Amino acid sequence: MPLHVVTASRLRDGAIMWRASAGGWTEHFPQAAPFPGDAIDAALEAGQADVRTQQVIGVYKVAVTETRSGLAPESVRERIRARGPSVRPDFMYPGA
Amino acid sequence: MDLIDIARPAAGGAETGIYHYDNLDRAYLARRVEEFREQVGRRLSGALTEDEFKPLRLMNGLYLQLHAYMLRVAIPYGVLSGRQMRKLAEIGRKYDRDYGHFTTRQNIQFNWIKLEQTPDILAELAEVDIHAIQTSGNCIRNVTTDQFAGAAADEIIDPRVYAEILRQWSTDHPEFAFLPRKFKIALTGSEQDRAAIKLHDIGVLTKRNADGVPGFTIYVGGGLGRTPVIGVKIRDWLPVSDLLRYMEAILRVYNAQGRRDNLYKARIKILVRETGAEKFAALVEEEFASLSGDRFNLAPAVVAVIQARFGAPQFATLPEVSTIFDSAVAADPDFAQWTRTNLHPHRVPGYASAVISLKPIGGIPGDATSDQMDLVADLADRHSFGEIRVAHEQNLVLPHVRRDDLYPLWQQLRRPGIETANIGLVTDIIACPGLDYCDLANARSIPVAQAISNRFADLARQHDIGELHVNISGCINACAHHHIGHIGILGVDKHGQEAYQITLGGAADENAALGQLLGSAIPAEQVPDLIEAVIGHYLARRTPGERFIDTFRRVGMATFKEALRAER
Repeated sequence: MPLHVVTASRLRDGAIMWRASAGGWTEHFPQAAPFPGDAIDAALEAGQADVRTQQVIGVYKVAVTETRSGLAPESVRERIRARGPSVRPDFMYPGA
Repeated sequence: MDLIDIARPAAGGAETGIYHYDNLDRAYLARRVEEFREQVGRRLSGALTEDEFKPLRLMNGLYLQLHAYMLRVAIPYGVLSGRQMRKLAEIGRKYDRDYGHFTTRQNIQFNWIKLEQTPDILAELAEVDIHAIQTSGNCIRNVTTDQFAGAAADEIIDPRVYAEILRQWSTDHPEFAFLPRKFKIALTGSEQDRAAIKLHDIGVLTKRNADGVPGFTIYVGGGLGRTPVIGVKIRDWLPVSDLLRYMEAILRVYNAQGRRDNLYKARIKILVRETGAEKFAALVEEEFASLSGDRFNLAPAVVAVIQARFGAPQFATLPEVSTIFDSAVAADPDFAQWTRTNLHPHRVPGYASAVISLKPIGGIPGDATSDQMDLVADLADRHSFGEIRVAHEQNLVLPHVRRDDLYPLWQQLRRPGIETANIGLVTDIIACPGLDYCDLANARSIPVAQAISNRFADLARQHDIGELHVNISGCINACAHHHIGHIGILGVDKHGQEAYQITLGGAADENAALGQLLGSAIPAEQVPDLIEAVIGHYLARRTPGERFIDTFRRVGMATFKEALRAER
């Protein structure tokens, strides 16, 4: 069954956000909630509601896989979004 | 900012090199800042949706990238004062992460900007007459030129003056604010093309006619991206006084006939190709003839007023030869090596233009820390009349340095690591931010550039290889101009993985050429080995004095392919 997380950018500063297990958003990818199969649709809809209240923009789903160390985005692009620019270790996101 | 400014007198003052704003210009910038402040407020309150706000933020150079907002600040034709550079350093320190990224458009980008702080940033930039207007959107973008503008020994005219005239003409031009697509103009003040003019929507090359009178050769329809095209000449010699009228004519034809139904066919290069160069030129000439010469005439007096607004450095009368310089070259081999690549001939005896490399070995091409920017500003004030240029190759230039001062200047560049003697060599790599930062990218550029830089770190080896331009773009939009690199590298997405296509034989100069594809895309870790093999083949085949591009042109792509196949 495909597994996804929900991501967006925070409106006021553009920071990358992940939909958290307890609802709401987190800046930390390790705290992102996985949504199996069709459950992603409701999560995306919940994310879109926060677009309408000016919290976030650009809500979309990201394919992930479960690894021994936790969830990992499948694409290079999303791995960079989850961890920070690969060329600046000093900018790595906390918990990445 | 309109042409009426031309009639106003020179501002004068000690600062030379930059165009001096007056109160009208500053009032305009202040209005634009407050307008954007109000727009940001409406966005944050929800009065504007993102769809409504996006074109407004783009008009002010604000993009949403992979990790944050990115602010692209215009550096008109790559010219900065020390005071302006210090402000950029301060913006980096106060609002970003202590650095900025100089681009192939001679601009600077800040990668970690907060929307809510952007109006304050723009207000601070306006304090030193800098803005981000028209750094995005389907309008005429920052006019680019030669990084040795106002200093080069071979200069026929000062391109800053005409670039400034084009800037004033194109800023808020009511007819050209919503073109079919973005529009880029490059202009060079000598017959040697140092601004890649044939790869721009309009390219302007200065040359003298048979009577020795300076004028412009006009090229149109050049561009890179997914459809790379070398521009075609539509006017061999245009009188200087007709420049604006001719630009207006080209833009009118494009604005009326350029395609708006297909994003990928909207650039002028497609219009020129589909219309045919001859017919397109005829349409421009017809439009040109219909425009009033009086309205757009650049009379010598008008040009002189603009020239005066730049101020003129008070050069000393010096001998051509500097014994201080010659002694330092003889005594210090590292300095001698730097002088071989990082200096450019100056029009005034006893002076040189010094290029500051933003390509340290293994570094990020084009990045400068706030401290480095501050130091360059101080050095500019001390050694170059406060003048700085940004090169489209992502380096900085101090245009007017006494040859006597070059050795102490170089010594001061060493501490912060911006003294690398590699201008025009294999590690002077042009690279876009790529997938590490850019929302459009398919693959990373910077790590590939770093790997090549580390592979060829030995400066003596680089100097032995000689002039060699490597350009790396992270997607087909070609921000790093990979099509015109002697060695071009394009990052692609190959079944979800980063991969890199290599091209050979591109060139950006007056003999502009598009690179030819060497083979199928390869993984990042194989790129340095392949570049090494390509260079090895060049070294084996070159004749004395032959540059990489010369050898490539002489022996052709087939021999490179054959040699690489044999090695595998």
